[in-house]
Amino acid sequence: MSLFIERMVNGLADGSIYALLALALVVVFRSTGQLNFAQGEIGTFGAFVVSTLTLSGLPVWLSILLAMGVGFVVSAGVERVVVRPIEHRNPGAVIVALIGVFLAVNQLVSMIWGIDARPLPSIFPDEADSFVTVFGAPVRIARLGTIGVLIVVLVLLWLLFTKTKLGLAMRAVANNQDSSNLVGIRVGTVLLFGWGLAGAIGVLAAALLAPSAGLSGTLMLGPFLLASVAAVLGGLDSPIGAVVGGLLIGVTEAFIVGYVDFLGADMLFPVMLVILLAVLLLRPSGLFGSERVERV
Amino acid sequence: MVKTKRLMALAAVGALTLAACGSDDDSSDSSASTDTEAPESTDAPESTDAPDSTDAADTTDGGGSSDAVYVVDTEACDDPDAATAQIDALKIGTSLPLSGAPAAVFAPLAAGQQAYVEYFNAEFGGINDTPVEIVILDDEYAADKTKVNVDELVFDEEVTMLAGVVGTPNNIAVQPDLNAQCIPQLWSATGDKTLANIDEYPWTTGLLVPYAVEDRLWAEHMAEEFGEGSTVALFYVNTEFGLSYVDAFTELAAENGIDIIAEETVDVADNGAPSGQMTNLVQANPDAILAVPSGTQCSAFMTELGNAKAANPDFDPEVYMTATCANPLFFDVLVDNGGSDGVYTSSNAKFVLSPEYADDEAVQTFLDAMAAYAPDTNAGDQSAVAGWLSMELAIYAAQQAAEAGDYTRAGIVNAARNIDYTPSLLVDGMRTSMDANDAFFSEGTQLVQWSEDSKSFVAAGEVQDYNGSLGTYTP
Amino acid sequence: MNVPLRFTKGSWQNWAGRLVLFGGVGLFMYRAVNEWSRSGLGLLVDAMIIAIAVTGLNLITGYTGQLSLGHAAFFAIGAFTSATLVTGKIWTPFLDDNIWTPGWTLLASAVVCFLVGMVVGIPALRLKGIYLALVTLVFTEAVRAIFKYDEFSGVTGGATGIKGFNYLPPSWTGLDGRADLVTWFFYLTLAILVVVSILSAGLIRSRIGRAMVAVRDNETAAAVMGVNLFTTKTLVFGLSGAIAGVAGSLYALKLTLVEADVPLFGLFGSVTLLVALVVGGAAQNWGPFVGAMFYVFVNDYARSVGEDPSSSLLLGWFVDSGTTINGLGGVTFGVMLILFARFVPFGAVGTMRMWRSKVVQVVPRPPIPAAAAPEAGAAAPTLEQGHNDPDATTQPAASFGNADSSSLGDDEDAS
Repeated sequence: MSLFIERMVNGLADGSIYALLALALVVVFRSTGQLNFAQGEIGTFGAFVVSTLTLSGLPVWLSILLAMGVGFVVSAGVERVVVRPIEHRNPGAVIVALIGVFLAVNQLVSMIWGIDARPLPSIFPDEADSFVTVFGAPVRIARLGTIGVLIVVLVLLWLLFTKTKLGLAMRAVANNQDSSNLVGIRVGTVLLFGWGLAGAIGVLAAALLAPSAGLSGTLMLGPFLLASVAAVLGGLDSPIGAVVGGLLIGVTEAFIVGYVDFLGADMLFPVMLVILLAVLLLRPSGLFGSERVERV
Repeated sequence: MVKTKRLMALAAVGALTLAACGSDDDSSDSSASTDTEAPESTDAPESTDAPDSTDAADTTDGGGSSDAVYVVDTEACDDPDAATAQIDALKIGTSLPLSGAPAAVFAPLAAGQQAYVEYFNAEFGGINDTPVEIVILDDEYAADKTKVNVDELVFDEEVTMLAGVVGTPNNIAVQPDLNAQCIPQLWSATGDKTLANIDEYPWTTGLLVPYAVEDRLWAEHMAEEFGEGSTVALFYVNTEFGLSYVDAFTELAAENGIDIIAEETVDVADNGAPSGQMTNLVQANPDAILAVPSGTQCSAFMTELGNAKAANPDFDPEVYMTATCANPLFFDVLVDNGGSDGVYTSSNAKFVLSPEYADDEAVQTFLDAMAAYAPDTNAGDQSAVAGWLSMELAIYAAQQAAEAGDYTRAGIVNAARNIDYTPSLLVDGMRTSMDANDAFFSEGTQLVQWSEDSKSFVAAGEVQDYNGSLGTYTP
Repeated sequence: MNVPLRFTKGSWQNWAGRLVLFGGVGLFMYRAVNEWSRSGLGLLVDAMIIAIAVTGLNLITGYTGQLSLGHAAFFAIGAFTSATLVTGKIWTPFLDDNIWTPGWTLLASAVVCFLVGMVVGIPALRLKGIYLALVTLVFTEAVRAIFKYDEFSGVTGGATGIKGFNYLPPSWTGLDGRADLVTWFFYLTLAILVVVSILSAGLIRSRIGRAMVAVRDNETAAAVMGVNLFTTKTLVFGLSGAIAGVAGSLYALKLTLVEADVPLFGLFGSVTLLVALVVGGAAQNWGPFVGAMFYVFVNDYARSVGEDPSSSLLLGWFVDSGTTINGLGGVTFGVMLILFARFVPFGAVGTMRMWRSKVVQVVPRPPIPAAAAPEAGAAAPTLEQGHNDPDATTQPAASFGNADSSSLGDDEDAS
């Protein structure tokens, strides 16, 4: 039992990272119908900003908040400068542009901060003995904290979407840009805010992941791939779906390593393919996605 | 210009066809060597065409009788004349990852290479008063890019030789071409045994301690520590590097009465904390763990190890990590929860920032050169030492050839294949040499252990010198 | 003078235009093989191999509108098929040591990838857009993992991959073994690229091709018009995969080794192919070739900027010689892609065609019934028209999916 709990918590903690990143992807998809290929890299960029800020003496939580602001600006900038000028012309061109952003940001990181991996302090206690015992299972506080952050972000997003005017506008734009325009919503600003929000969430995910994985330019490559699978699994326009998808993938990963002897961690993708096909062939728009999402 | 080259190649090919009478046997065991410059060539080829006769037992003592001189055969070259043409200016090409994920581990190697060449030119004025040139290209650790780079180096840059190319798949990818073109491919930064295939690929030599030698060090140490029936768990990256390491260890474990009770793999692209694998390792609770992560995964493994030890008081295995992790940066800067304390690894090179070598002359030269020529690179990064070594050896081989009056590509390979020279940055007390029966350069290494107190590696055993023990390549 | 000039398809002006185009490319190839250095020629061969794979991708993504990030998997399957067969790892009747001649493995790869492609096409019946893209992407990574799986290492070589084979030019070519290896691969790849391009162009003009375009433009309408979605999607996915597989075979034979970790066999490969397709121009006959050339050579250029910024055009003013800036090459290429997407959104070929159509237009011969508009309109009428007139070409769009692209109607280079 204790072993099961340990694996479950590990899986949920990894899954929380995927879920956060998937949430960011969903926020972008809801506003512009794009899969933001550069989402993970913007997160990595932000995590390096966190590193620079903490090294200059700021407390970790403040560094992360400031870096989330940087992520907001960078991501909104990508929307305004790169995506919007081409958006209505060709979806293929938008994909290429976002891949260009991915590449440029990824390499910019190594231009600015070099290629050496570096440590990043955690906002949670992260000493060797920072764990609590739950039913006999040692559970690290940082992992519980990551899951907690996911819950907080989810609640804040829910409040934003349902209780604020801005959230209402975002939902309206997600539903129909042209009609939103007609009723006086400033669609451009709303899109900008959606992308910025996603950028900030992406930075948060990276800043939570880096302390255990080590901060390097390739920090978010793997998580981004799994997060996009999570977003698709849950439904590209559903925040709840993104979270469920992310946690599901995290737990699957942990259980493959833990309980399936003949498959190692490196066999995650064949298993994911089976799960993905099983879900999508029954529900082509994902677990919680709405059917009308067929934009590309 | 291109056309003339093609004509020359055609002429050479024609001559070759006449000479070889249509024999398409391209292995080097046709014994006729026309290199009169090499004085020992008369009896040497005899030993090369009987690889089976080189028994490991003959050569372990490193005794004089087995030091058969190797002479490379240039008849099979695409252009035999080019292989025996005098060299005016030495130009060395290399290809390694300067960007992408593996660059974090390997890019300092390039800095070390650059620093040595510049140091050599500044200090000694080059070879025959001509400065040595080096061209470094980025391949992102992708074998296909290495191939493109090597084509560029050979045909556009017209380098004399390749040296210090990084990576097992990368070196194997370019090996056939370079051997057919008779371009020396010296001091390849991999410990894979296929690079010692002296019969098929005489123009290729390896730099690193062969993985099998390291495995032997582990297995012998484990057997000594825990006796018969000791248990070990393996943690390795699922790549050619990890497998070649683990395969060799599995054999040696059986010989030494060690039980492998668990195997955990990690994907090469997975840079996250291996928490699931660690949980399994804790469950298996072995006497020892052999960890073979990729260079970028070393620290995450040790961090996770520290957490697991703290959470499970019963879990206290001895941990052995590959020499590719033997980098103070991974142990000190990135792991701060005690997970690295007492971890064993091995190295045949001096740890340049260790207090033990504070007064060492060679180390001081290295640090000064790095500060002068590669100030952006952390000189404490042991990868830079490997790069330095590869160039030191490459230039040494060229110098030897020049001194012997055979300053040609073939002369350089002969000098390398018969080298008996211990570079200044290797730990004292081991013999590093090659000859016709010994295709591995460095088979000596030393067990070291990370000490959290002194923040450095400390020797945990004598220098183990297995020089000559691997002989030549056996598939 | 009336601008734009209008020429009838098949007129002498039309043929003259084609002659200039093909002559130009032919001259380029001739000069490449005779005057370029071997490393330059090697890059060109790589570009052509990618062009072949992109030609395959163009069928399913460009013409049929099914966004696939799975073509690196076909590329990898082709590569491993060749490597496995030439090293005799699979029992084969009539062959003593099971060792295949490399040339025949190209066909074997095509067959294997065709079958796999048909299977991959089945989910495409249910999934659309990004959903399909992500499933095919996971398929790519799954295939890569399976190639590394230890239990199958007898066939795939496992994580070690397969090494130590090569494809020397056969004696009838008169080429000299290893010394002319690049030349041999140049001719081989060029020949296959030409064959594949002709087959692809032929397919587009066939009944299946019209069905493909109809599916892309409006799947429901196509089904109503009698297009069999199941057959069309699985068949085209199969053909598309087969072509990518042949490219993979060539790649393996040129590289002389396969390993699951070769970047082109994974996510990176799929993205590369997609970028090359879009940059060249989706649903354009010349798109794959132009896109692949752009990808390989511009990437190489960007890399050289990173390695030696002082000799590049702009940065040379700011940077001392001898400095290398880590990551600059990647940033340069990334920015180039962003600019390309902004200013050449229909890809090089699509955009050039748009510009050209302002000056010269090639209109189809008037079909026997009546009225052939150069602007191909909705799918339904062209489909009908196509039944009457086999010469009419009907690919209207330079994008996958539903972009507004009716301005790209004409296509003179359909063969």
